[in-house]
Formats: sequence, C-alpha cells, structure tokens
Amino acid sequence: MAESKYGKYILRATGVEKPRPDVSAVLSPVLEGIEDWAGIQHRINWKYISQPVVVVEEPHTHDYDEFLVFLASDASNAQDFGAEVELSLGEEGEKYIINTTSVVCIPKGLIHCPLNFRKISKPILFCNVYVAPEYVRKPVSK
Amino acid sequence: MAELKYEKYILREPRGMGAVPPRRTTQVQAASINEKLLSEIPEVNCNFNFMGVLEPHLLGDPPHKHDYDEFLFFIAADSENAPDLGGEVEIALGEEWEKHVINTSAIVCLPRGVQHCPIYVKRVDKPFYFGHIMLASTYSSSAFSPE
Repeated sequence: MAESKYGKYILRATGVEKPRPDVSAVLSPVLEGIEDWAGIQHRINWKYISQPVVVVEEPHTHDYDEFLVFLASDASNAQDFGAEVELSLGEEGEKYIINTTSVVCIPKGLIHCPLNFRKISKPILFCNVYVAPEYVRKPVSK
Repeated sequence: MAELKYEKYILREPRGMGAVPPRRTTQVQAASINEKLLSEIPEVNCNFNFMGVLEPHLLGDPPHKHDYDEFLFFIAADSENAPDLGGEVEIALGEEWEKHVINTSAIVCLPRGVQHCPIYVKRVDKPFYFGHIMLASTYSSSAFSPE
C-alpha cells in the first residue's frame, strides 16, 4: 500500500495494549483516531471492558460535545448487554444506571463522572466519541 | 428514575434507523443516533450508526461523498483475538476506487468531499461492528455521478 493515495486515511489497529498493572479490566485504547487527522475535528476511541472498574473518578466537563456508547461484545446479538454501569451526571452527581446497549450524550459543559463499570457478566465495548481534536478534561471546582 | 433531571441525555433505545427488515440476515442494528433521537438536545450536532456485521455481503451504499467529515469504523467485537477483525472487508476510496483491504480493527477517515464505497464484506469469521460517525444532524450524501 506504500504508493496508495488514500492509505493515510486508514488507521489500523496493530495490537492490543497490555492493561495497566492496577487495572486488569481495560484494554486501552484499542484504537483511537489521530489528532487533527486530515483536519477532522472529532475523534473516536474504543476500549474493551471485561472486569468491573472505575475508569474515571473525577467529575469534569469539556468544551466540546461527547458521546459515550456502550455496546455488547457479541455483535450478532447487539442488545444482549451483560453489564451494569453507573454514571454520575450534573453538579448534583445524579447517578444513572446503564444496563442496556445505550448512548449517552454529554453536551459541552455538562458535568459527568465518576464512570463506574460495576458489574460485568459479559465483556462490553465502550466507545467514546468527542467532537474536538484533543481530549481535555476540565475539573469541576468545588 | 422518572424525576431525574438528566435522563434525557441517556438514550436507552438508540436505534434511530428503525427496525432492520426481518429478512435481512447480514447485519443487525446496534446503536444509531439521529436528529430525532437528539431532539431534546438540539445543541448537539452529530449522527452515527453502529451495526453488527453477520455475513459476507455488499453494503447497500453506492459510491458517494458528503459535505461533512466522516469516520467509518470496523471494530472486532470480541477482545479475544483483537486486533484481528474477525473478517475481511474491501473498501474503495477516491474517484479512482482505490481498493483497500481491512482485516484488523480500523478507522477510516473521510474528509468532506472524499468519495468512498462500495464496501464489500468478503468474509465474516466472527461478527464485528461497522459504522459511521458524521458531524451533521442528519446523514446525507451526494451520489457518485460518472461524467
């Protein structure tokens, strides 16, 4: 493909990173779009979650819109979601339980997290779509 | 949950494409977002679709391009053999129909105006996810015209 014109537009996964020593649950990131890729201003990133884990503790906001997508790891039975995820939203820290294939839309400025994958009876895919070239968290001032 | 303030941000039946026809056995809808599903969150401008690919087939879309940037993605659903996709796909890029083979998890970036498709799913060993994400409230395309 060395001489191809459009090969630069394809990002191929070359391996799966070993989990952090303290987290056996997340293979991270499986694949993440490139910063400022051909001028595109949104990015996508995937993880496999196979054990309970809190992926983000601190409530925060972004200056851009974000989507969290929770998918079953069996693509032939995409609604067979075998996990329970707890996500806090808003300055009140309202807790929401996600236990079906779902999408969460986080408009810019909406406080979110912690994000706690509480029960994992079947591994899931977690996909994060963010409408910005760089992922930046703004901590919530207390 | 009835009185929770932010429930509208959680789309628990994110199937904006409507039901997949029952006779269609080559793919299954997983999650998709469109303008209607985001009607309570009008400030967000994005549409996407994730579907499970079950069997070899030629995807329905003819060559086309968009006025918006788009990503296509092919993702192994199961981490066991990742990054192996669990299948093989050919995608044509550009007006030349330059052929690219995808057999690992991959993201294809399509800046606005770059023609793409057809997409031919040649082999499926294990169902995988395929989809698109576009920064526009609805999916629209300009069809390829041969002149």
